[in-house]
Amino acid sequence: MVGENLGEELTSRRPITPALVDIMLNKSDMEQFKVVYRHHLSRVLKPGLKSGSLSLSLSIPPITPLAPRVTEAYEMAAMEIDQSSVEGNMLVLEEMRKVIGKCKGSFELLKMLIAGDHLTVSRIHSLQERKVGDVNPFDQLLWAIPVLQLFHMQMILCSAILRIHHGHIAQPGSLHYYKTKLGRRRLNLDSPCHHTADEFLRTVFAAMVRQMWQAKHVSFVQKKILICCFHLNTKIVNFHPTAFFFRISTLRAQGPYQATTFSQNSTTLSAPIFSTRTLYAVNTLQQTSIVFSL
Amino acid sequence: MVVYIEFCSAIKDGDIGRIEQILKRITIMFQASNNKNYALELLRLRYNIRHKWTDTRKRAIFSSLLINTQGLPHRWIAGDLYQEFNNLLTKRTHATVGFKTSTMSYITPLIRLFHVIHKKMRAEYKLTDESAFHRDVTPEGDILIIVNSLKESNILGVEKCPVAHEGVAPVQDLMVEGVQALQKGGFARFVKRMAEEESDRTDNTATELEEALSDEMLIRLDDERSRSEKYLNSLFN
Repeated sequence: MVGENLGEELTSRRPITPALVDIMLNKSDMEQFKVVYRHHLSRVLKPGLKSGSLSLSLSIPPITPLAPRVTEAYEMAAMEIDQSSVEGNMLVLEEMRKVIGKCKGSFELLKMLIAGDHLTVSRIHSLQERKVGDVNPFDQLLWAIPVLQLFHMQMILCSAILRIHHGHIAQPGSLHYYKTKLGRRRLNLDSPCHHTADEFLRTVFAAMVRQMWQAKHVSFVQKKILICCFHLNTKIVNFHPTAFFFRISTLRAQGPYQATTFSQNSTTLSAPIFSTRTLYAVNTLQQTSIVFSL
Repeated sequence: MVVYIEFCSAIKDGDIGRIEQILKRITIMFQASNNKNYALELLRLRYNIRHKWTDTRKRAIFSSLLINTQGLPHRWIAGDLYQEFNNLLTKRTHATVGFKTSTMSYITPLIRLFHVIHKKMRAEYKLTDESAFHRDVTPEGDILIIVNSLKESNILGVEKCPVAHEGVAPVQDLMVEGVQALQKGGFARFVKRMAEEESDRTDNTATELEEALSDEMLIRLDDERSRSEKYLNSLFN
């Protein structure tokens, strides 16, 4: 932001040697990531859950949110400068200085953010190393703070995920397999289209989360039934775990001792389990009640 | 994948605290990926955040990386995405007027204005968009296809390690491998590089100082030589 206070640099101290502990995650980072995990998984399982107390309890608490405001941006004229070279980057900075109308001497009291991709940042670092002995403050480049931009990091991370999980075309579970199955194009590993890759990864992720959730749900149901069977001293006959791969929308039987029917894609399963008692299990996240006949 | 989703979500929400938090993980993950340049720059960023920048500076820098074109909540984008979009608009506009420096110099600063005019013209004259733009379709159908495929292949099911998948190689865990890469010399290389950069900076300053001093001394010597010559000449004349 133009005119924003960039604060002081901690130059008064001697340079501190980096320590590995600065990079590693601590306990609070781990705790925070659990909240992040819970939020994003719940968003995948319940995309429509955007308000209410459940949504609030599953949301990520903001840390340092920026106040929404329209950002003013001023585009510069296109220049015929080769930005891939170190000298080219210096020429671009020179052009920028002319556009903002500042003399070279005034850069002694200035700090300015130069944000760009890795190439820009590394070129500015090289310039800063080379020109440290220059006479005027502008050429010394001590005013420049080179920083990596975020969208480039997003793209690199997206490509890394695509590459790591790509696998083989004949291997179910790999991204290559689903890429072919869904007929996705422009997802080559060297230069994938970011928009397509983003959409594809989110789709596969949603599918995997749902599959895991359903599997966990089945194991939860199985456990509950076994516990009830133990308490009621009864025995399960004709039990199919796959019969629980569905979400029940209507419950036909409400009474505790009545036979209950389940529907799965319009197929009616009439009490696959030996029917004597009824168990109510409530899943709070999916907000569905499931009635088991025992 | 959750790291990537959180990174995108934090940017969209304009929460620089969450961006900084998730960048910690991305820094470690990049140490194991093929992007060594980004891995180094992220370590440098982490170092700056921890030891070089004050909180004010950190906040100013992170907030400058985001842009909100509409001033609405959850509508923040990265600054370079905005720039990429401008480049796309410029290329589209250039296609109609030709790629000349003379035209480029006035088109690019006004590219956003041209974009607004373009949209207004289309709305005024009810022109249909002939581009390949399409609205996002719901991914529900694709999700079901994958879920069914996962079930058929017995992946991520109730059974933790099905016999059929025993020979499948595990996927690379970037977090674990990133930590290992740092411990097995990656971090030591970074420390060495930082030390070299620091010493280069101080050496350069010292050399320049020496050069400046020697220049000054040479001038003084020249001056003294000329003075002594003048003195000798005055003696003999």
